[in-house]
Amino acid sequence: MGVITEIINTISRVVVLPTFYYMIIMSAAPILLAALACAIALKANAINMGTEGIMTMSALVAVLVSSSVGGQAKGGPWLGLVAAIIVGAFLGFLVSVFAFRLKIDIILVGIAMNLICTGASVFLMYVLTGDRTTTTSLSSGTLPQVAIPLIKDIPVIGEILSGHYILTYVAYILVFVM
Amino acid sequence: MSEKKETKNVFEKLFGGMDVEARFGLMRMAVAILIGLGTAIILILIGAKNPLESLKYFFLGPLQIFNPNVAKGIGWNYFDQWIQSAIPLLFTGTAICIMFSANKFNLGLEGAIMMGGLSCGWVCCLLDGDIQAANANPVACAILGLLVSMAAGALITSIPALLEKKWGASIMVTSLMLNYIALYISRYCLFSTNLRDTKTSKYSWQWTENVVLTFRKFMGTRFTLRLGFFIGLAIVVIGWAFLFKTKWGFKIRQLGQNPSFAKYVGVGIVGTGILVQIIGGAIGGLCGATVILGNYNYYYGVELTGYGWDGVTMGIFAGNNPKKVLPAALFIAYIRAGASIMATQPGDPINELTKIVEGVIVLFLLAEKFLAKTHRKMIVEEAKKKQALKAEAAKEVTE
Repeated sequence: MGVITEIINTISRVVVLPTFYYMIIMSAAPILLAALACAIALKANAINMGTEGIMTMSALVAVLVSSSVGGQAKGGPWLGLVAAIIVGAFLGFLVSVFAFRLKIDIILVGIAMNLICTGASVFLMYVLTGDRTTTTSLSSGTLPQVAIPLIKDIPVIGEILSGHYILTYVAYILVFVM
Repeated sequence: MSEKKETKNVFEKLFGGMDVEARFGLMRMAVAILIGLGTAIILILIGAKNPLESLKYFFLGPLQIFNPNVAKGIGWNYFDQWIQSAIPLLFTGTAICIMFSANKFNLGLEGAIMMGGLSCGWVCCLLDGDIQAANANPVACAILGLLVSMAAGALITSIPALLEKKWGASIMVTSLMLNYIALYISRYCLFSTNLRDTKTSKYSWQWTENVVLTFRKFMGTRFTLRLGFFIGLAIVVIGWAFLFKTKWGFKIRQLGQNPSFAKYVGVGIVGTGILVQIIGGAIGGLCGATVILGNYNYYYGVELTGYGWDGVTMGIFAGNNPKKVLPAALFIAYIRAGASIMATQPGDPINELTKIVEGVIVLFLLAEKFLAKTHRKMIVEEAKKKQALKAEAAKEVTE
């Protein structure tokens, strides 16, 4: 029973913190984007299992492009974002070519795509940077955090809703746009 | 006429007896594998600091049966590494072949392997480990471990089957999620129960070396005879016989090819669908137990093994026919062993390229329309040849 009361105590201490909700909103954004990616494919009745691989690959490309341009100071993150979108779109195009032109079951294309992308991202990272696990040696910078004008001054809500990275807002807006 | 026959080249002697489809299938497979290996060569040339040396290790490494260093206690026996990495592929490949034959995309093999390893480890700890200073017969202990692991694997993969039967939940989604449930059950058991050796942070209590030795016979100091490989072979043979030589296997394949036909012909589709996944899970559990017992004398499972996904690759390579799992497993294991041998050399830690090679081969193996023009040409040629033969025969008759 001691364990359970400890868990309840920890939870009750955490749920009152605004940071907790801030973290929820922030960490839901990538999952949300991935879910939207799958949802739009699912509308065409195509289960895109390759989303995982596409995300890994695009993330690597974003970091590489951003740092090669010159990082934070020279607008690297924005160029990285554009490069990632292009790479993601291209990989999605590859999935569709294999699935519809070459007539492979799209679930299996996705699985193969995941294999290729996880392998290729590590391989590329090793060849280009010499690291095998992370790209901490590259200074790629981050996209800006946005403070929403009026909302940021409201005590608790401002802390929760304002000050996220711009892509977080994009993710939530896309839910309604799509 | 007889002269003409003798001048036929070797190629035609080998493949002349086959029909066009079989010949084309073989050719497409060869082309896919060549494309994959070509990718590997290009990647090695790009990535390696010493490409020729790396290529030598990649292609010839696993054939080195006697590594002279092993006798001195340094390094690995590379041939043994090849066989060792083929073992889980045999199990998972057969399991996926059986499940995918019924068109049940159960991806829960990963979880079955996890639960199999866990339950087997627990049995061995209790019966022949230092947890209670118990001393059972190691052979009996191993056998019991294998049986329990089969039950555990079957249990976990039967959950998506039952969910589908009861509420129509997609097997693919539920089984994928169950993998994580199995992983966290395994973690919970390791971290929060008395399975964990209190002296370590993430290993279970050890069982005696005797249990491991029933699985691994050292032939001298250089060569290891692995029982797991023979169990895997047995599973492949049994799986093939089950799928292609029994009434149940016929029902399963019927269900996969055309569920409505199977239903009206009198195959119990619900029962068969569940049976398939129970069998697949049992084989998965056996795989986990074999890997654990054949390699370690403690249980260690805090991460997913990835063997389940390998099974999907195997199933695709083998075209859902367990008979072909053996060559497919040996091939993939050869590439992997070659890559990891290459990775031990200074300057070449790039064994991830096997994943790229596997993915590329899978894509080109599956592509129905790949080489479609050649396919058509082959059929046309065959038809023309037949027509010519017929015309000749007709001429002979009239003469």
